[in-house]
Amino acid sequence: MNALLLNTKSELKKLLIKKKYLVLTILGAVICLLRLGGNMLIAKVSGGDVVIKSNMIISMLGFTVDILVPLIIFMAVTDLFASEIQEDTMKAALMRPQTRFKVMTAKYLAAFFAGCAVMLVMFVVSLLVQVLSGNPLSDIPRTLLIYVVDMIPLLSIAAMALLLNMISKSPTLAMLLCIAAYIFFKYLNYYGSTIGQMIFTAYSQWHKVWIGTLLPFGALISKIGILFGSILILYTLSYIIFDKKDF
Amino acid sequence: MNVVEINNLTKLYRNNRGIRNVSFTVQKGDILGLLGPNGSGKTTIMKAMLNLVNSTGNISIFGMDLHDNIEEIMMKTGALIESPALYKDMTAYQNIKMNTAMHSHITRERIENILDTVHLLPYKNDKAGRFSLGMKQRLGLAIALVTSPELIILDEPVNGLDIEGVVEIREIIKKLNKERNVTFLISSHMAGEIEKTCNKVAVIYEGEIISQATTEDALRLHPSMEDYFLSIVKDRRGEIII
Repeated sequence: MNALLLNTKSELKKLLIKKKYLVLTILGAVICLLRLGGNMLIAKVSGGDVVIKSNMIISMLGFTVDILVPLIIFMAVTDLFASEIQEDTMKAALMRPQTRFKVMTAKYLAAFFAGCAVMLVMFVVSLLVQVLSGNPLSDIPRTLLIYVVDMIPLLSIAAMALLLNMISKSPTLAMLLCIAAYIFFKYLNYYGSTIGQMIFTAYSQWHKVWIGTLLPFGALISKIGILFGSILILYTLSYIIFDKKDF
Repeated sequence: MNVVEINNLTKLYRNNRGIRNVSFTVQKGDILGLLGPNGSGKTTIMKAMLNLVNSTGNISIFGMDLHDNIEEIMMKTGALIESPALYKDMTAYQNIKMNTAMHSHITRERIENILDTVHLLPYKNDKAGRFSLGMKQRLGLAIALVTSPELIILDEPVNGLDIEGVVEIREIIKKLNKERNVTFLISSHMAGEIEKTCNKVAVIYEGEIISQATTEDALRLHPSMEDYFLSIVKDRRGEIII
């Protein structure tokens, strides 16, 4: 376990060195500010007749979990797998004293934690924007809990990216496949009625299952099963391919 | 004592090239040179020993099966395979630090010391992506050596080095072998390099080990390692040796 943690830490360091993650996070924060600016502009143009008093932290959640964080995770998984295979640095990771399973798990966890970190940053930024806008801060612990709960489905997004990286021959193709598959699944989630609800991307706002709604026990178990079953299948398939690869 | 014991190691790629039924041993304190032309399978053997490629046959290192004890074996093994696997966005120091993340005993002093040994200390804060081929090779060697391993696997270690660099690397290998009894497995297509560095030699040709001898024995009947290699290969081809 200690080896896995040490390795996850070093994989995270690799991501931190790359400035693009910082740039994307800043971009997310800027979008949050623009949203506030837009609200203020509407209020000004309407002469105060239209005032949008939204909970900025919750309003930004959709953008964060459905667009920004999946993008960060796709980039992180691609950097840690397809790019490393292409640049031949995967050898270095495999020559460390650890099994292939631990190598893959550490990289997978690092990508997941990178996504979680961006979610937390977005929470703090939207909280600050909420304060700046003069809107009331209501039930912060509950809102934070919503963000934390919504981190869980990111495991399935990272697992999907992992599998697509295993079958891609280049980082560019891996990234394109991740984005294309994600858009396709999201389309099915919205327009594919029953089938769409059976795809893991339908649970990106996982908090809706747990907070604020009362679902029958059977439906709850079914949703948990779909999410964690998808993670397990995607992860196992990825490992089978990774274990058979020659470097 | 056998540090490495390989039996019937086979790895064939899609083009049907690779290695077939390779068997050999490396004893404690040996510097074994794998001598063979480009594409003969030297790198494949080393990659199989590091679990970088899937192969069949038995690989035992330090008396343990490779696939069941990879963590323990790699804790005591250093390697440099093909071109060094370096993170180009990281500095020389960060590259070593990254590759020794699992070795808690590696201190800053140790890293600086090894960088000094390969003459890269003045460049420790420079990004590896800006290094010349020779500097990259030295950094790769530093990574292989920094954990003070008992077995070091070096694939063409003097590739891209100038004459001075070649001599320095040879001296480092000999010093480590003499002072700390470190076992080396070195591959090269340069017979002269094997002759000057190794105490044993195995000739690999078209994916098979066709001869094994001590350097002393090989040179007893042949004026140079180059002649030894050529006579073995010609014999294999069925050519008349003049």
